[in-house]
Amino acid sequence: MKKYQRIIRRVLGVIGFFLVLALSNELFRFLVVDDVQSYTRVTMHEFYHQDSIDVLFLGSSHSYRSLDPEITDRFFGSNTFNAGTSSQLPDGSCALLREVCGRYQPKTVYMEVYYGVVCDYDAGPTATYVISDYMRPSWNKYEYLWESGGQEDLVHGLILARRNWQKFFDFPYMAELLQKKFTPEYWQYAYPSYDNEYYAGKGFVYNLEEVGDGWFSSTEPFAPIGDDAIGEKSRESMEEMAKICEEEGIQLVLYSAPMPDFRLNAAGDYDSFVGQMEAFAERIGAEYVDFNLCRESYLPLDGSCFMDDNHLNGKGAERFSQVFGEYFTGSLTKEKLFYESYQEKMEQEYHDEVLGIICAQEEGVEGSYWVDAVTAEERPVYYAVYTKPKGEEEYMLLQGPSSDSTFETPNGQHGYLHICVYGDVQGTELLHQMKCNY
Amino acid sequence: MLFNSFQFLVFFPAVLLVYFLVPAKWRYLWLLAASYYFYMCWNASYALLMLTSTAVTYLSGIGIQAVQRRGKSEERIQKWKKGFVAGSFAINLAILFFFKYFNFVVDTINRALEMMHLKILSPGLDVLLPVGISFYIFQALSYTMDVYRGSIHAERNFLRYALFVSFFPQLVAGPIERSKNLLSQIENLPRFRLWNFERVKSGLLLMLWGYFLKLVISDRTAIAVNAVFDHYEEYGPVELAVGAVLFSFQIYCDFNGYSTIAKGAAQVMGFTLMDNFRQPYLAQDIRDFWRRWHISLTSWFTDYLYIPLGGNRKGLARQCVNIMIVFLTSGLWHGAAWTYVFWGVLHGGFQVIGNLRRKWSIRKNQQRKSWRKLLAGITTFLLVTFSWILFRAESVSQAKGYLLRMFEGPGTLSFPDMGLSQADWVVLALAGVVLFVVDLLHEHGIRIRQTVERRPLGVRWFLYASAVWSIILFGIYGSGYDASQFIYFQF
Repeated sequence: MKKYQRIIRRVLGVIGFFLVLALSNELFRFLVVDDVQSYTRVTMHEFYHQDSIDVLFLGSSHSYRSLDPEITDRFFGSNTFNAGTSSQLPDGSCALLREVCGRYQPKTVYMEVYYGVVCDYDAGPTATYVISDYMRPSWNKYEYLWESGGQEDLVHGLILARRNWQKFFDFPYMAELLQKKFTPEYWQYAYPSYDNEYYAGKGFVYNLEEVGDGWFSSTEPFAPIGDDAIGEKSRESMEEMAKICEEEGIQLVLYSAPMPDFRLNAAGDYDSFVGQMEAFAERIGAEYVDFNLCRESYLPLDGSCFMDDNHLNGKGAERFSQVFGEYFTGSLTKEKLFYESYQEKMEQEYHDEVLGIICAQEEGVEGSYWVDAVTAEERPVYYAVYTKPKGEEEYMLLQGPSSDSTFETPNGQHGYLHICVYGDVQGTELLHQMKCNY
Repeated sequence: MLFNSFQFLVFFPAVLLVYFLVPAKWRYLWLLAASYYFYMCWNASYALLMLTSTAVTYLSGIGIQAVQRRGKSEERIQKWKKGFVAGSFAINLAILFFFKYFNFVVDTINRALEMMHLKILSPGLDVLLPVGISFYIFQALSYTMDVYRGSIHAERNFLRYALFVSFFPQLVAGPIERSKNLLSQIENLPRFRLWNFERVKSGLLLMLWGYFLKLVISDRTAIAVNAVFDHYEEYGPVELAVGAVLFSFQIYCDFNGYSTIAKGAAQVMGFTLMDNFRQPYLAQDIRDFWRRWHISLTSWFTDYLYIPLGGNRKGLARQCVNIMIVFLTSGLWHGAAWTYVFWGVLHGGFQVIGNLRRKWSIRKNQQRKSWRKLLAGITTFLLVTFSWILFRAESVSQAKGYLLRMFEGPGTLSFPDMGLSQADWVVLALAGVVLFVVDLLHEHGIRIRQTVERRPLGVRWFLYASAVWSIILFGIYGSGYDASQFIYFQF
């Protein structure tokens, strides 16, 4: 009898030990992981507390900044939910699809497939953690972590404090974090908000920023669209999603949310991407709809509808959600809403406008920059680049035709650049301008 | 497969599970299979080398025993026995020479020829050094010698003997076990009580301590050490001195970490391996240091080289020569490079000087005062640290450059440049204190595990959980959590 008591005591001791480890894991996470203002924390909390999810939106920031479930609910007449997360790659979407299938019976899944994420873009581990950190413990979660980043992601996904271990020695940080966490807002999953945007519910983030004067610009060159725009890993994940959807009787729709034409033109042959996506979607038994081919008369999106050169803002999202709902509920036909090709859209809606300016540093050359005006069609333009180093007067760095587009900033100084694009050599017809720091 | 890899995290519990489930008489076969798999994870074809060494030493043992039973004249018996020993040594050392020293010898000859403006030999061979080769060959050779001396009977079961050579916990970096200890435990395997909660727990705790040494201290100091040694020209004297001291702790925690994990893993399975370290940095002189550092190798050299050479039985001069031979061999055992040779010679020199000093000291038998002990301890540590610079350097010229720069003059210390963050330094300092306290308590005969065992249940398990967390949270893991090598694997 005594022998059995001892065995039971030891078994209980070992179980207790592992319980203590699990509890302390949660405690350490609470102490050093700052998720106070995390959108995904609230999104996933809401995700697990829905009565039902009939329509699910998946994708990156192009999803959670573009589709407002409050509007789509009205169109679909059912509960829609936006499970988009920052830099969500197709493997993340696949993990979330599995998660939703284990809890709800969605009828349709709309997955945003912006060209920048399906090219197997290296989003880094944060794109994974932003989802896995708030997923409930399940085999699906561990499989996702393992497949996305092997050992490292698995360890960091299971032991969150390991990622932030240095913070254990930053006492002011911990004190401030605890202060923020010991508030009713944190425990009640209050919607986070920042100066220019706020969480609006069911995964949607409403942004208040606008592109200044409607003039698009970028300080980074855009990754070009290649002939093989869909990466191998993305392909596999989307094929897996199609298989799950088929098994679960879910309709899978792939779509691209609207982006500024400045970006799409700068990225290269957008029709090539559309063609590749259509062919891929057909092969996996899904539909592909590209809202960048929308006619302006149905979906007018100027600079005031974008928060930057990539994402819709709240106003743009409201317009897009409306059109999205109308199209997928049959109020708008494909013929009415879309051009046949992106090329046709360009020809019909633009002439010789300058869509935006890219001013970027030459790769690996400190202080050397190039400037490029992105136009809807070929046309002559002239640049004038001014600089204002800190504590000095503004002066001109470059003036001339577009063939002369590189310049150097004053050695070892910081300041700002003012780039003007003119339609004439005299500089009287200002077409576009941008300002940036260096 | 490394002890600090994910692979081992799966391998070890899997091995244990089957080990505890299979019938007692089959256990050694399971361990043999597991050990070969463990070795073959690194390079499958090199398992043949280990098999060859095993077969040769096994047959030599059988041969020696067989000759003794024949009842021929003592002289002929001795002749045959010596023949078997010589054969075993020749084949094993030939393997070792070919894989470890051939390129070194060719390179040395080439350099000499080059200096004499003569035509150089063809370049060396492109062979990979088999991991742990020096360890298992020395272990196998000790068996031949023990059978020759009659300390043990030759093992007739080849598979059981093969397990003695390949036992995975100590296969690649020791401790270099003696047949008297390990082989007899393998023979008794079916008879001992396998499941013993206290023993298993104690073994796991030992492993935990080994992981702490390796992951929290050694791999953290490695960051700074690598930064300083790889770019010593960019650092000042103080940083170089700090780098050298840190390397002392890196190598101690790395090697002791490995030995401790090995000992713990073996203990979980019911085996007792020998201690390989006994607070070496608390040594009072270099001789004392070698009684505490890599004990299994020191005792190997003592038993199979120093004593056969005559030890201290043939006068002071001969003893000094013997010491130099042993340490020169020890240096070469560590690696095929001149840095190791000089390192060995330096330690030999320290020992010889120590011997002479002891011989001529007028206070031979006097009890030392505390401050003198402290001074002796610090001096010994500094001498050892100085010698580690040779050991760590990639080449003699790097060691020379490092030393010249270190003694250039005063300099300033800039911690961030050594590749460690402020938090890393805090962890290192705290872990260093823990290491120092543990070593000090061990030195005074206080066993931490036994002390902890006497604490109330809550306190005990709190300490265990803290130990686990300190390794998980503050351990240094390689890129992508790939395990970092143990230093002694290369030997």
